[in-house]
Amino acid sequence: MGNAQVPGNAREAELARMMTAHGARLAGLCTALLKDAHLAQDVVQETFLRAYTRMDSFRGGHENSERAWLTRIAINLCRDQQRSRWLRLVDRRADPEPLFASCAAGMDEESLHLLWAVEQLPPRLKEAVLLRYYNGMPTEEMAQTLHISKSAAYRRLNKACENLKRLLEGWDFDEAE
Amino acid sequence: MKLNEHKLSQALEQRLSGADFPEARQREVFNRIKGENGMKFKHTVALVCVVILTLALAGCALAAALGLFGQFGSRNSGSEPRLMKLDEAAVAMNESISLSAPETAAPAVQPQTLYDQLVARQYGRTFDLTLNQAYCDGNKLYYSYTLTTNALESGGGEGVPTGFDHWDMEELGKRYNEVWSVDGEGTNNAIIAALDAHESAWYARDTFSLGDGASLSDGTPLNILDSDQTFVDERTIQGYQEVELPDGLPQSDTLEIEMNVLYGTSVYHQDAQGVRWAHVAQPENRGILRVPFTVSRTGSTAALGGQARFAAYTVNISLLVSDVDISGKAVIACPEEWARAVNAFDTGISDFILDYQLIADGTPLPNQDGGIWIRKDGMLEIGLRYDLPQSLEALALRPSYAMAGQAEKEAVELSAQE
Repeated sequence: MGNAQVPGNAREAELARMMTAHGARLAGLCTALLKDAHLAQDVVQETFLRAYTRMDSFRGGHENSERAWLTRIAINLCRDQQRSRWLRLVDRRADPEPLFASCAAGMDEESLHLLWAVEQLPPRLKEAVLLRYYNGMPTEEMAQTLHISKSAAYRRLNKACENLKRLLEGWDFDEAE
Repeated sequence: MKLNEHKLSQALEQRLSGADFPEARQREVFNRIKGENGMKFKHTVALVCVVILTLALAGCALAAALGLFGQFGSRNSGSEPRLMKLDEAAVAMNESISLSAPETAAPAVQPQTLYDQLVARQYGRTFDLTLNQAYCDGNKLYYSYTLTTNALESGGGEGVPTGFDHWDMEELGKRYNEVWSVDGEGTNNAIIAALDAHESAWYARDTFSLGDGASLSDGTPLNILDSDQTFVDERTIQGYQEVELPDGLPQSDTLEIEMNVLYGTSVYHQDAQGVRWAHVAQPENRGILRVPFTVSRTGSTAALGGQARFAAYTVNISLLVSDVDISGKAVIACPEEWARAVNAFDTGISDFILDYQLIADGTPLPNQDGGIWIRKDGMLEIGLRYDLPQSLEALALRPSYAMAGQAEKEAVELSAQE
């Protein structure tokens, strides 16, 4: 797209293309971070609205850069939502939609435990895991998305994996009972 | 034990497979853009054009009025309050230094291998580093910068690149775009195309960046706390960094620092077995140019603190209030099971204090830091950073437990410290 102003119709067509290409994956990521599918949809909607107003300042073109850009906006909005929850009285008895709940049908025990372990991670490490293992982002793209250096992205992902391994210790799915 | 990454990806995919961004939501996006619900587009063309033009002009005006700190803040809502404060408090320096890679003292030898050619390419590279803004309060140093370079070269070929007897990274069974992605329009596509053009292929591209963190002129490292950067174009990077100053630094009006410009060439090789990467650097300096700057200490900090003793633990809080934020730490002498639970990230062992909110005149502010770890002395330390509240009256920190949530009765009042 470069730096040129994009005419209205082309701009909206570009937005429509982005929503088709990235909407579902962003919805999944936001659902996993916010544990609330409806709120996730609101965040994704807001993501594309912001992308629309900032489209001319996006200097990319390659799909990975566009994905990193949109994911960055979505993650920041999710973090705003997570922070704003502290300002509201949150009913801690209600656990909306953790990754490992209400999905037992068709999932084996190892999968459920992996999802449980991801759910236990601190927010920043959980983001790293979702970006790598759900969004399939290479580490350099993760660094772009999260606004951190490449080495920091490597370290964050390594730390997340170490934490996951510790959480899963004792559950050896390779050995038969 | 080994983490089953493939199973993890599968599980996440399966769990989130129902996620979608339906057409109704997409229509809602367009409705909000048009500013009306359900009205025909032809009636809103003029309004949309005016809105877009106004937003674009406002964006340009805002960007022009803001320094680099403010420009990054306007793009990142999470850091916006802090970076906007920083933009106001920072001194506009706009000091530039021109740098050149050292020339070789050795007699010119015809390069025998690709590796030799790439090493030879490093000589004569030039850079301009501009320190745009700086803010130093004696506790932290922030700076924004612009880094440009002369022509960057890139290119590839078929086969194994000669002269490489080891690789810095190797990912077997993977293709380039499953491991790496680089900045720059078209650059990533060029790399992929070159590597996919042959069964065995290589690609080399010149790189440059500002190193993470800085150091004092005596070599004392200044650890990086936060950063961001963006490529303005292929040969220009803009960014900012926040670094921590060491305790006990003598008070002075100025600070001599050194930053590092890093440069070299990244080389990729891909074949049927996998993909590899190596970094080629100038041997004389390992591709590092040290750049001195002098920054003025224009800010100051005020100390806040608080202590409390409870049945299960005692806590000591130390904070510094600057023109930009409030930052510091909470150190908790905690039960041994808390330490085990934190290290294992397992609240099944014990609940523990995970975080502190800042309560400013009754208004809670979230902790922007969130780092938590058990120190070698067994104390639990929580990193604290808060945006500046409207008022510094009646400040307190309220803990949140990982499982039980907020503990109102364990709030710690803060007071000014000497």
